[in-house]
Amino acid sequence: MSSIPSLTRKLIRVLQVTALGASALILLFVVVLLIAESRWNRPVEKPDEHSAFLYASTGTELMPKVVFDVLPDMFPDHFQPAGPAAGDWITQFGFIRGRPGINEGLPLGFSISYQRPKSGAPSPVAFVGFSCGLCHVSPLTKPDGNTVMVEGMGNASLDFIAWVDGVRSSILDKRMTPAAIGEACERKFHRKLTAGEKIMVRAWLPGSRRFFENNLPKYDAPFSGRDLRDANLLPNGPARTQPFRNLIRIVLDRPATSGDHAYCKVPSLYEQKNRHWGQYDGSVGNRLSRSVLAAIATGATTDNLLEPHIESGVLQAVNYTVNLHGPRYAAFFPDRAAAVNSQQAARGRAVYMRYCVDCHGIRDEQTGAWTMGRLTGEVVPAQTIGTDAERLSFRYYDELPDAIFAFFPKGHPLRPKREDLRPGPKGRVRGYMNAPIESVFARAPFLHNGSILTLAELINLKPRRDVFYRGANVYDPDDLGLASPPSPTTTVYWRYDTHARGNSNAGHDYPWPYRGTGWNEPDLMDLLAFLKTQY
Amino acid sequence: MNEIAKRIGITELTNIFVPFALLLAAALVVPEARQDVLHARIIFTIWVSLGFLIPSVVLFFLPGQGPKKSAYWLLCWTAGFIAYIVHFYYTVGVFFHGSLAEVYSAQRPVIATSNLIDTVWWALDVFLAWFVLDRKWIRVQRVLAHIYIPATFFVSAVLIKHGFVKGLGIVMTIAVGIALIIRFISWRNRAEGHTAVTMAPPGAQA
Repeated sequence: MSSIPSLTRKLIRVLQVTALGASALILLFVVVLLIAESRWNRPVEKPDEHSAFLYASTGTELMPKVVFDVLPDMFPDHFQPAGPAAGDWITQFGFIRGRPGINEGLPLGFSISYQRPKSGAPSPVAFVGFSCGLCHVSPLTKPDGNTVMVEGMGNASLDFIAWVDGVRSSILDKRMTPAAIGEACERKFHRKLTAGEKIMVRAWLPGSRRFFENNLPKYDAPFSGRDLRDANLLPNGPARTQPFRNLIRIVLDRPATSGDHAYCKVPSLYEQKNRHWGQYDGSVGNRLSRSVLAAIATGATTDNLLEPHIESGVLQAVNYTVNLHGPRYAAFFPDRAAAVNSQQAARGRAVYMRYCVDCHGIRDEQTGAWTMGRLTGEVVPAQTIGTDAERLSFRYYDELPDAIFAFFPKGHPLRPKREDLRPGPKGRVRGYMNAPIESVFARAPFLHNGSILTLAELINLKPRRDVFYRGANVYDPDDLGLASPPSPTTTVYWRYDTHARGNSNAGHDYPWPYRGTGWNEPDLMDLLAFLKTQY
Repeated sequence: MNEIAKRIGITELTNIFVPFALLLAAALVVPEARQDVLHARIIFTIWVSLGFLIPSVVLFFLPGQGPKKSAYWLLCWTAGFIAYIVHFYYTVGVFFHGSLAEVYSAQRPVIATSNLIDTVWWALDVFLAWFVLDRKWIRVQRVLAHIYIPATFFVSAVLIKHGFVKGLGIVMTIAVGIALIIRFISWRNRAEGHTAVTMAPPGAQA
């Protein structure tokens, strides 16, 4: 160094000090960024139970909100399978339209959070995911065209699986790029993406696309366009899922395509205090475990479910369902309810007490509590009840409980107890559970696979339809259930063929098989009248 | 302050701090462009830690005890430790929610305990190297620390993990091996009277 001229030495010293200062500033910037990041996930007050049920994230963040806003405009072919004239994606997939000023106007059941998908990492921009209300609030359209929302009722019009295929098609579509999203944002909102949106879109899109691409062997390529309404290609249809298909994919890492026809209607969640075991086959005990598994099946992870915002929201939403009372028939159809002959209802009650109460229990008019029947909560073997058994015979039915239990790390606070999963130590019967039927009129369609549209058909007062159409069906207040047009329409479009595998409407021939031994039409009319008085 | 620390000039500081600051900043910021920010930070910070651990251990085992060598050793040893502490924070503090029970459940007792020993021992030695005057026991524990800590990194990076960190682990293994060979040759030469190279590790006071 002594040979270096003094000026050079000073210059080097200046450069060194500058480099040190600049490096220190960069580190300082990073510290500031980390502090800011910790505040992106905006601390909010613990949501009340009702808000949590309708709006809180379940750890199922799907995409940045700006992408969610423009995606249907970018890919109308994926989001308007019946064409533009049949309405927007909200109408065509049976979502419930949001209201301005509430949850940023999103359709009901979509959550907003500042957390990234899967990891739950903080995000500077909003992400959209699902809340419990997506599947468990249903529109009920009266014959006069008025629609009311029923909280707790399984959404009877939501074609969720088809919509997810539309989303997957869009994300896998190579035309979808950050630049294209930016252009769509400018077209729709007349603004450019913010810096945060640009970063998050660039972070989200490759990861999300890679996720869907990697999962193609398990999930297969998505359908799009008109195929989304084809019952032969998408056999779930509105209001139904295959609840354990995704768990097999996620937990067992298997494709779940071999003989899985375990179609289930989205359940209603009234008064969860009345049941420990859930799922139609009574396979999951503990209502929190049921919600956690539902969240996992729709995209949550064991990690992000522990994020305080998400965990709190899930717990609050579950609490909401504990005492969530379903509606009364009289509240929706007061004229018809008033016209119910009280003597006929009393006779119907006698029929109910003779043939139904043991399995389903009944409302105690004095206390308002649901009184369990002698057999309520028991799992009846499928061959005894006679309903479609595909729900109980899918591949990995026996292996799944152990795999679910092992899927959650030891010590995970949301890990289900092994004894709360069946088949397991608490039972191995492959059958369907005798469950309480609070607000039975608002549980349509009926049977676990939604194969019977009305209570009149379920009790065999009327013959069960072999083929009908599903979508945004109007409610039938006389037969207590959903009406079906004779041929598909733009809103009631999905052909339900009860002869297809997993779709059978056979079984549950109580009190009597239709026009079979003991069949008594007046008694059944009385029973239907009585059911109109039940809540 | 320790004599070694007093020998650190602005040149040595610049040569280590600038790349350290840039690499650590990158390890923390680049993950922002990923969905799984935490996982990426955990990975990238251990890369930075290993990146500075390698030269520090090599310098430690190489023969000679010049002031520059000691200064670079201390700076690299410290930089590696700081990056490791950041990694430790994101792993134990965030990923495992600050729960040792979760750590032990996920990593199993041998690895979890070993990682905790790494953390405590490395922190202790960095403190001693900066602030405590040389003692014989300090030298002894430092030699042991420079064996134990790289050994745990070897097990983790080379034997357990895959990908880039495994490459770093192999580089560390080869580099430390070469340093030890050089030291052995130097020691043998000195024993044969060919040279008078000082064999004390850089942590020792002149």
